[in-house]
Amino acid sequence: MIDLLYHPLLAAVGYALLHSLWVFGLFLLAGRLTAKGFTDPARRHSVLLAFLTLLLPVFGMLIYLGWPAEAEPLPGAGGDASGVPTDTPTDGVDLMGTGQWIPEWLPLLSVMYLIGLLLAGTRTLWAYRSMLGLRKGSILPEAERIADYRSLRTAMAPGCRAKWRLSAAVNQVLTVGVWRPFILFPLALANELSTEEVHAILRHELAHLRRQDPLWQALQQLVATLFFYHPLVNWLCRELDREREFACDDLAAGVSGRKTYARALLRVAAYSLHPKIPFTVSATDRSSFSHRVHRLFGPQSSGNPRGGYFLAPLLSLPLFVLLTLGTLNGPFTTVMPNTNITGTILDGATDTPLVGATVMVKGTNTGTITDIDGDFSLDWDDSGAVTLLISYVGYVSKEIIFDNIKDRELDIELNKQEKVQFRKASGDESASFSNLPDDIILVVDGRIVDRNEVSLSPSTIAELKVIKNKEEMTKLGFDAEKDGVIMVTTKKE
Amino acid sequence: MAVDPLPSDAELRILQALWEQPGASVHDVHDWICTHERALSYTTVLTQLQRMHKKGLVKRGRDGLQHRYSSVPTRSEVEAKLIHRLSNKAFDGSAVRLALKALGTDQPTGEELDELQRWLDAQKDQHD
Repeated sequence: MIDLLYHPLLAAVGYALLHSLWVFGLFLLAGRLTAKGFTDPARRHSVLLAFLTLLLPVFGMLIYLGWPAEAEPLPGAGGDASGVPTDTPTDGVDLMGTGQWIPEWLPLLSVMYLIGLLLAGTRTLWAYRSMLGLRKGSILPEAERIADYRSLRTAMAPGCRAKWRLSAAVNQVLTVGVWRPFILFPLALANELSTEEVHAILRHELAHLRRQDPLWQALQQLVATLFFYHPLVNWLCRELDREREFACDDLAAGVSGRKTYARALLRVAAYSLHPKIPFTVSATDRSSFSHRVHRLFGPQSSGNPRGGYFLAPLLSLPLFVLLTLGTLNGPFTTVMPNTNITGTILDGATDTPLVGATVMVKGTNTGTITDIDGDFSLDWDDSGAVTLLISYVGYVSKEIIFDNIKDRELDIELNKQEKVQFRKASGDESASFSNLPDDIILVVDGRIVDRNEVSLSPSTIAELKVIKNKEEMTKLGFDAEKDGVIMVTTKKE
Repeated sequence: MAVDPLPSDAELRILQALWEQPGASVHDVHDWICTHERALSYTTVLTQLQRMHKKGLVKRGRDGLQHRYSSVPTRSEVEAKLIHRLSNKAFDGSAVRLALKALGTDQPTGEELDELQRWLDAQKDQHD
């Protein structure tokens, strides 16, 4: 038993475990930054999964690097059966400096890991078994519904043979199984939802099947089980779960219509809550579910192109150098600053929060929308000055220059737009300027126009500016004799 | 049938086949199960049907040399029974991490759902 404890493999695994803490950390952060470079959640999912899977060879490499230079680590310890002479160096790179010394607790660390792995593995296997057990007691929907489902399946996931089953033993909608997955609906819910809502949810599950998500999730679960001890692996798995749902939301909501889709999701969520006793629900902060529903109505998906992805390969480069040269005691690569801009958008008059206001970083596609409390949170990798553009329907947009990293909490008040009254010409929607007094100059998109000939629909007007100041009028080259200028800017399509 | 137990998996399969085609012969039931559920042998289906007849789950009538079967409980009756009996031990989603959940990994709370519903109602229809 003691001999076994001094087996070089245990020392190597212990070494790999120890160093995986920071190597994996760097690796996964690099993956996260790379993923941020994509707006498409499906792409982000692929990138994150690729980085997660890479942990397996990286761990293998760490074991190789950690293999002790001596086959017989401690004099008098008995050693393993290989009988290699004490002074024969092995292929492994000497990382310990001394070559002779292996901390005694490294093998112990491995043993603890193996015990933990046994528990984590048992848990995963048990989960797999109970998942397969869900097929029991389930029934197929009625013939017409099956026909509906088949046409949906052909449209959403061609080539997929997965069945749709109803079960009273589940309280939420699931896609179950790895090799031969099937969609499982709560029996009662299938009867409660409208046909459109059932279709919306089915589309979401079919999107999972089309993307082969059951297989990817099994892979993810495998890595998560192997590296159960690593907090960042768990963190990345949660990110993966989120991106996977986003990707399927996008596929399903596009066809079903966002509102129907969001309603259906809400109803499933409400149903899944119902069988529970209220106090067993951990009610602290908002779940990512809220984020998902809000996101459907956001101006764009939540992930945003940032400078991060240029830096990510740079970040992983020293890692590779370190790994290949075996000098693992090198300095930590600095992690780039990640500014988190948070704040609240309020109505200037009433101080009530504005829900769904957009906050964009000017000149980029980066942005977010405010939540139920008018709060927003925006990740910004660049520490330089940022101009935030805040807009909300019916309110005057605001630009805020944000250059102080310390000042991260923003309270922004928006004021209601003053209504521009358009006189409606009889029978048509366009605004008429024909009633303007003669000494007002009308400018549309920089050109002076005849007020009787112009016809503008209010929806095409982007900006309306009134200049009454004589000096300003002269400066802009207008006739100062006139009473004022109305400058109209139309929306450029 | 005072307190009848939940139909077993095998019984459910046969009941489903009979709901879809009432008055089916053993052959029809066997065909339906093989196409929709899983491959079973003809004799298995026959034995199961005879047992279910004894239990009173199916009734049968003679048509020439054949027996024609139909289900005694309707689909909605069995569904209601399943829902009622299993609602207590309904799978709460946390145990089976391997399944892909439509709701994602973390569960929203009741208040959160109410808020979301209000927010969703407030969304302009132009979004659709």
